Amino acid sequence: MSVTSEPNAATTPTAARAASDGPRRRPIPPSILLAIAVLVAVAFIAVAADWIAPHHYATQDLKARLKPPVWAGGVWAYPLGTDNLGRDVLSRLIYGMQTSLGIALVGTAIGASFGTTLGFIAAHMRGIIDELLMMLVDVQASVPYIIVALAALAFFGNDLTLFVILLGLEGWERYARLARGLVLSEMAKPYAAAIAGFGATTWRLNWRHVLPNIAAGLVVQATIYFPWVILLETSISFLGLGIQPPRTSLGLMLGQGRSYLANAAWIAVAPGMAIFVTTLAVSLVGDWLRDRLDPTLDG
Amino acid sequence: MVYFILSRIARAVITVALVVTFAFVVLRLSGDPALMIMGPEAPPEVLAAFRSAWGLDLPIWQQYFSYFGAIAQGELGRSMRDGRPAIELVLERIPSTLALTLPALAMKVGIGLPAGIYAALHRGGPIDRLVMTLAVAGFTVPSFVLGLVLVLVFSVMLGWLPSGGQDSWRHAILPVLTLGIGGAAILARFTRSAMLEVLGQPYMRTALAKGVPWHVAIRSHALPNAAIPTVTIIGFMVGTLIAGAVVVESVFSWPGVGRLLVVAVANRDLAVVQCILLLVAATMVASNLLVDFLYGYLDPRLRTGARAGAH
Repeated sequence: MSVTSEPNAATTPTAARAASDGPRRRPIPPSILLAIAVLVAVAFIAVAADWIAPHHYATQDLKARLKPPVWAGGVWAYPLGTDNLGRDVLSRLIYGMQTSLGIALVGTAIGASFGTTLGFIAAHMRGIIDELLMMLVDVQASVPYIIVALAALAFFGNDLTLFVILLGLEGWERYARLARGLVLSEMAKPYAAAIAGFGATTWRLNWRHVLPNIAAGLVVQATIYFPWVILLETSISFLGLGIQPPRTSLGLMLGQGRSYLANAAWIAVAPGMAIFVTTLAVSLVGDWLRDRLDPTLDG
Repeated sequence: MVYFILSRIARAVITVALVVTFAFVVLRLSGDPALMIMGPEAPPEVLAAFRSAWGLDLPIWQQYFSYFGAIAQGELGRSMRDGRPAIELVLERIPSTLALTLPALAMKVGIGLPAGIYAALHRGGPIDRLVMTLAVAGFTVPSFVLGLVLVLVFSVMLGWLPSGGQDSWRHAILPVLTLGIGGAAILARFTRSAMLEVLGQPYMRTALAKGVPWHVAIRSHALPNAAIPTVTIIGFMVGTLIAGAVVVESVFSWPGVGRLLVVAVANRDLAVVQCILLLVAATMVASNLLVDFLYGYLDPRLRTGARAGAH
């Protein structure tokens, strides 16, 4: 799948959503439990990388280059084998998960808060600001985001902060559109008028009352688009234009392992599996959350 | 109808203008455009010529307009690497990219469309479940992982197909498969949900109730209505014919526009990057325009101006 594809295609079929809109307290399906367990494990690995990784990600052992995994004739010192510089694949995998997930998390937070803020602004100042935002959304939709991100990296030079911000900006317009719609519908409810009638400031009304009420929808949205941020990061790092060595990420590991596919496939297989399993688990949980919490929410 | 077409053309023009503005602003923010585009080793007289051609000695608002003028004349700067015009470098790569993306598009539409329709008509059946499972996998397996898996199986293990390069048509098989499989899954899932939505509409029940045979109702009521959202996603795929293979071209060392872009970004060859950015935006906008016109044809509500609920 190409990361430039339209994320909106990720919507679950309406009919399937409607069907699940019945009784709310159904047991969690086993596949979702498994996905949640995977995510907890992945999160633990990412957080505890410094303690559980047997080696440092940049430590080279030039005498032990291209050692196969332990079940293919390798040694226990390097359970998943080593790469072309004798670095431990397992340790690099653990640190790569830390980098990829951490960056995707920060990126998602940036996109979500930036987009949500704009959504609030658009909902309260209709007219020209609204129109301007919609025009920006059009522009963002007219060029595949990976091209825009690569162009920005070329113009400004590679830089970790810029890279993370670029990843976050990928989805701002989806949060803006969603937040705008949700805020408008909350403001139409009696409680909003009542609170405003008691003399609360617009700021207090939005921050203390409207935001908590629409937070569930925004969190679901963030869960659904989190995998897209991971895929964008891994794609750009795979091309060698994102995370720079000696730091590592899942995409960068895969990109470096590509040249050794013929005789040391384990270098690429480990991060490839990690990317697949993680994004699959997040996607499953995100779709399930959406169906369960908010059947009317449309990506 | 005239109003509809004119408003869509106006929107397309505004979008292109905004992308050009984006390139202008970013280029100004990042330093001296003359140095950035022509390279630091360019002789002073070349820099001076470039500055006057692009009007860099003028006030900023005049610069902005002369930037549009330069772009309209195809004056997009020269590649830092060999000094050739950027536009030439990009244009000569396009056939290579299309050699991958056109067959991939045919594969997406040829497999995704029928699979999605069939899955919706036989909801819950084995084909439906297969389509849905593959569609989820198609979303979550990034193209570079899929591409490397194909290389591992068909090049390394089986030795049937080459793993990279562009020497014969056999070199195109794996990249086309990589692009096509994911896209076909996305299109199948999209078509399926569009069909399911239409099948649940009251007019379908009415048609069946008044005695219209099932296959006629599907052909003349369900398919045309489901076509409207499906056209959007196919239009998007047409729009990515040039830009959609950036990652896959790198996986398979395929010398197309995407590979050129990656190398240009790595070398900060800004003229080439800018040229590709503008070209991609123009392609996307053109295909969006095409989709809008198709909408007008497919959805009579848009033609007559009764636009409520059309989107």
